[in-house]
Amino acid sequence: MIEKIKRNKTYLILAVIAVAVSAYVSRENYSALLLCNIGIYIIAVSGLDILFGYSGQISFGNAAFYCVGAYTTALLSKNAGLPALLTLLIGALSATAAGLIIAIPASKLVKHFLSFMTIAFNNVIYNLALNLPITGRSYGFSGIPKLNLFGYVLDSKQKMFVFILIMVVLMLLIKNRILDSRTGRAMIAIRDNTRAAGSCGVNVKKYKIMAFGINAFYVGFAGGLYAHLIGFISPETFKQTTSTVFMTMLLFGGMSTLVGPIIGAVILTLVQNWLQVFSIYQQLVYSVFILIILFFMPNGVMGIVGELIGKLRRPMKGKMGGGQ
Amino acid sequence: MLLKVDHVTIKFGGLIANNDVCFEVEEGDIFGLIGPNGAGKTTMFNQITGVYKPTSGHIYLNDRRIDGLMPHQINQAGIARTFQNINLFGKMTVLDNVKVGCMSRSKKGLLSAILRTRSERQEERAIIEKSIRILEFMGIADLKGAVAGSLPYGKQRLLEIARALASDPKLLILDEPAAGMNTAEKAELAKTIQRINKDLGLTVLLVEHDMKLVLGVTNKICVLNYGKRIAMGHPEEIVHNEEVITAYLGGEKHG
Repeated sequence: MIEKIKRNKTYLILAVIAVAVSAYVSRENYSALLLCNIGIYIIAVSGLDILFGYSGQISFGNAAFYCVGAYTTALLSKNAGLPALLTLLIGALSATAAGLIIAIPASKLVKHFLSFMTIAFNNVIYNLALNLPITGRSYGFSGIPKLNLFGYVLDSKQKMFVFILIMVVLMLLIKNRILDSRTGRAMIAIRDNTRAAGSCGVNVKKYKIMAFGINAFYVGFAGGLYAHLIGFISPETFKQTTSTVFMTMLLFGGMSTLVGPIIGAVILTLVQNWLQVFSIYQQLVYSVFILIILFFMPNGVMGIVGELIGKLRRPMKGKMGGGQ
Repeated sequence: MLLKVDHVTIKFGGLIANNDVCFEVEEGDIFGLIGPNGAGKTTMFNQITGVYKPTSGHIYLNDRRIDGLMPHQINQAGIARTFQNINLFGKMTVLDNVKVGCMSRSKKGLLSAILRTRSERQEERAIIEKSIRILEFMGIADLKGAVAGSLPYGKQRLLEIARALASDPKLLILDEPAAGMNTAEKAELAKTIQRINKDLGLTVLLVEHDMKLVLGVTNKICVLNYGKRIAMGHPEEIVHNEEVITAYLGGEKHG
């Protein structure tokens, strides 16, 4: 209990610092845009964390859900003129539907079979975005209206950032609540030991599918935000490489933590931004990141932070003559 | 009767692992299922717990057919199990392991978790209280914050039983619980099994290799050999049964 309060306090302090820094940084339009992008990535990567970090199912096809969320939101807000919060929600829910459909066969697969299936699914959705007349094909889909909250138009990047920031906090709170509940325990149990989970009364298939659905909701919601932020979407964004970007962010930041996806999204977005001039080398940079993770930090930045804290704490405990 | 295994046969390709096996476990029993290596004990166990589906024959719990159900459905129906090679959630704490065990007897879903409704918080509190009660019963409550994978072997066994108890089972099945234990730990285990049977009123089905343990705690035994039932009865009948002696000591008739 005390541990929990302490942890929450640390999170609160970190959050306040993060908000203060980003408020300062976001005075410029360009950096505000960057912060918006980071926020969107945090939501998407947190979704992936629920799927991969907590329920143990891999997805290299999350750009598909990003795509479904973005196009659904874009189409609804441009053509049907529905209010923004509703289009975002419907976009996320359509992505969830796609997630549930893919999850039913996927729940039977593990490891590389699941990887390949999600990649294939990503390619299917990408090709649909590229070829369906309603999406604007390879020209992309433009003229997506600015987010409009009950008549208040978020017409600047700064306003958009405030909105996205609120959404990030909300989605992280929801993530925390899910994982700290009966549902979360079931997912973690499946990840840790599927056989034992089944024998404990965990409906393995149901919770595997549910994790896919939640993941798709998060990523689809992020896709909708992206569509409104940029005002233009094209199939290029939803290629499989984007799925790899999500995965790299998660692994770099550190799986199965609240903060890991934030760190991953921040660092990789910034690096991506600095390297924009060398855009042809972007894939190379990602590859280097993946190699760094594989060889030096299998648990990501959060893993290293955890080790450091452990090292700092242990000698202190020794001096107090205690420990458990 | 609580559990009825009714003419169960299972074949894997050409191999008949269980051949027309019948036995019944009465409520309140500590029932032993024994046999030499490869006799088909674990296969029988896996059919009762939903890992395999019998080729023919049925299994009933309180007259409800349970063969062919999924493992989680069997748990919900009232059978909890432990594993021969311990299967804990190694990275979770001891308490969280038992909390997962409460799955079948709790029901709050995703939405109430997100909204953190009052009834959801109540259920969570009840789950924690119940889990701690069970850990106290098993004598490992002081370890509740420890990571399950870091516990010594004997404690892991106790935790696995605790986790099984959390689903309020009618029947507890233990798969070779004495495997890898020393004499002192075995004696402790025998006491625990008897306590579970008496204090909690649970029926226990024990699949076990260790004859001393089985003869010491059970009140009824079924012996399998080459997939077939060769004897059934009280422990004292079983030790004097010639077919059983032959099966355990090898081919020769009457020593």
